[in-house]
Amino acid sequence: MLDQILTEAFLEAVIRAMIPILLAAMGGLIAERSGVFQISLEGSILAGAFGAVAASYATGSSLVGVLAGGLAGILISLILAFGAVSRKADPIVLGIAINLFALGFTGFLLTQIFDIRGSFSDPAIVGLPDWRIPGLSSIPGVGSAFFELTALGYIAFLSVPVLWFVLFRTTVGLRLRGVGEHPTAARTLGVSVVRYRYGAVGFSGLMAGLGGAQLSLSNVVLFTDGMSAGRGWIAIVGVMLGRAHPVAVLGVVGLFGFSEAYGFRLQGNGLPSQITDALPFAVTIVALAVSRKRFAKLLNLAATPPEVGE
Amino acid sequence: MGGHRDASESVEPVLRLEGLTKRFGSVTANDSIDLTVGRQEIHAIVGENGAGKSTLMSMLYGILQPDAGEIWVKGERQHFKNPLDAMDVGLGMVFQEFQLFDSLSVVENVIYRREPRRWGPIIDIDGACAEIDELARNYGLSVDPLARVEQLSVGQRQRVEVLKALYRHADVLILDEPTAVLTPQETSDLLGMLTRLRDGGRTIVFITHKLNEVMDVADHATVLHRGKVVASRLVAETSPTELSADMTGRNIVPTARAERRQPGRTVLNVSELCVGRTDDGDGLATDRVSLAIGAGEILGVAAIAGNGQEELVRAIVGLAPIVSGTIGIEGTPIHGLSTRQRREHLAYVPEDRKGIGSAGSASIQENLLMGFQREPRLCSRGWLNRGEALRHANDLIDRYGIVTQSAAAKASSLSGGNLQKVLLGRELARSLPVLIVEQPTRGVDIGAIEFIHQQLLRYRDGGGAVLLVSAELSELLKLSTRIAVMSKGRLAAVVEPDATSETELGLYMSGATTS
Repeated sequence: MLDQILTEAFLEAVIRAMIPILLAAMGGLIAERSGVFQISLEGSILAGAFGAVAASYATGSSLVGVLAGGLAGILISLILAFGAVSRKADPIVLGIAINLFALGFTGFLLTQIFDIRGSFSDPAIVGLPDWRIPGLSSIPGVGSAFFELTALGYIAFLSVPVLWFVLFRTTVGLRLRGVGEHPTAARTLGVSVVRYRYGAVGFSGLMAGLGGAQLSLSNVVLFTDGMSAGRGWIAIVGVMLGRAHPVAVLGVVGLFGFSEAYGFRLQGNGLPSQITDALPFAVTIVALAVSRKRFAKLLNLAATPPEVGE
Repeated sequence: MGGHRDASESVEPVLRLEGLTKRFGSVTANDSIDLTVGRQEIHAIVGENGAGKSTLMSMLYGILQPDAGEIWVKGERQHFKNPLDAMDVGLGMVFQEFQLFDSLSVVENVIYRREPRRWGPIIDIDGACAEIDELARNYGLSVDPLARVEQLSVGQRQRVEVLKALYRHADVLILDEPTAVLTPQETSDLLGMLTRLRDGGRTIVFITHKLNEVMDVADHATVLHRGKVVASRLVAETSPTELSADMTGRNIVPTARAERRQPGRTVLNVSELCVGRTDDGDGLATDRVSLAIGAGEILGVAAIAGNGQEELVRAIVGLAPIVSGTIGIEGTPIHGLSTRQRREHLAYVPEDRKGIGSAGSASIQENLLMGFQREPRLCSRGWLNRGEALRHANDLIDRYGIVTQSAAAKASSLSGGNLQKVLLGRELARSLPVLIVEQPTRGVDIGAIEFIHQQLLRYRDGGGAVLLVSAELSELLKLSTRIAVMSKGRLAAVVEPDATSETELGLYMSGATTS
């Protein structure tokens, strides 16, 4: 097993598997910090993937494709923002409806625009180029895995320290955390809860949409019905397990990237793909079950009353 | 205003309200309120719950807009649209429910939306900490700026709220029932701090119904009753009896102790009871506690929060498993029984009235019915007898003077005092030998307090055995036949109210033992 994992090719596979999930999860943690349970990431990824392919096909530009993917992700997320923030609907019910809508609607557009069912690929769709960073990319062992990514790949990894800094060192981050923690208090102090939540949910839609664009314009250049394949859900689990902390979420997403890549490797060893595809989700379930216990312990510790008196 | 002339009226008042009026539908919550607060004074606003104190404060802070009347701050007329407007002219409010971000640090809470910046949007956290340290030193508000609020005690959180207001340059601090949630020690710290703030040039308005606090620190007291100012007095020229008569419109002597009588045979017997901690910590929450309460006796339990009294009650009621020991009622051991079975022997009015004691979204009638659902009179073959249930509810509403539109109103619409009357009425209606009651008058207005005390004494006089847990030492001294003091899960002392004082009780509560 180890000889299969400790290779540059495997590391590369892990990183590539991580990128779409990481983008969505980084967006999702910002929404979570604002106090909105962002459960429509899956829909935003799917819409982003479709938007990117359609725009790239129409214009022949991968940049326009990426922008369209991001925009599609935002549009989907704004349904959630409007429903959950402005109309105070239950985000879980609404989010599930949005995800189902995105699945159906992209399939519908596929047949209406391209007259195709299931999967759309065409030489006219321009994929995202890998940008190789001279020097760094030739570091043995890790160079090609970390320094030969698409622009979206670099954005995904750079967003971790950037979002950490914004959240914990800037006024915007402080206010956002306050809005999520105690909206009434934030409002009393003059911060617009609605604006921060719209902004945060919109940002999460943008990031998930970019994740979708990475999915459909990178390794493979095509769109398939339901090609988000649960990555949005895994991103949500990542946000929750990482308690919406960028570095912790990166760690959890790394675990998912690893299990996806490893599952793919196991397929090469002859295991049925249905089983290997399930690996990231099995890891999710185990991680949730294990961490529930750990969180319960932490919560209990926090609830212990301090010693009083002498 | 009353006949007393206010000494501070000769100076420019910091705050002046003229004819402030607020109506909610047909109810006039504030009826033409006049109030003048002089610079550098501590001004207490006293009144029962429902007297209109909170409405008045909400208008003063821009949360509600008055229907008529004027607000003048430092000589200028103000029209507050929201709390920000009030903050801008130097008002700072400390709510009863803290408006703090629990997972954020003290400094983050204090500077929120007024962050000092190093560059662009980047916060200058060191500068902020230094400024907070200085404010804290000046007023004796010591608190670690980098600690998270969730790690702080209630008293420390309150200091953070005060720091927040001071940081925003508030020179008029308004505190809504600030001592309701504090221990006696924290209360005296707070009152000392208010005095220092006044001496440092600030003006304090604080809302309370505890008259001893008014007498201790306030310069001036304004009394509200049913939405109107009924008296405005200089504290130096008044007495608690006079103020409490103002508050209620009738004479209540607040500190009179109830007549005691010799208890009869033992009804509730707790022997060597050990209860584990609910928080996974080591050791026992309740360590070999033995109590015996006789018929016609009220045993008071005094303890600082978290010293085992909650677990003691929970173990007796059957909500917490016991490690060892026995509990018996009238000779029957009950520690092996389920909570439902135990409730055939004991009545229970919990501290958490809303969470455990009642169902907020259910009607008052339904709440009054809970626990009676197996009585043949009210229920047959699983069907409720709705007519009888309504009679039962209306009877209790009448007898306990519960103020409500109808028995069908939701329990969540009741004030603290009325909800407590619902619980007490329901529990006492079952005529059981034992009553366990926690914090019976917390958050309850003074009129209802008196009523609740009388009900407890009546139950006692009828031969009931009462276990009374309360943080109000004056309440324990007034009602108890004996007082048991708990400290760190152990029984520190059992004393007679007539042979002790609040000071002595405080000593036992903080760990001293009987010699």
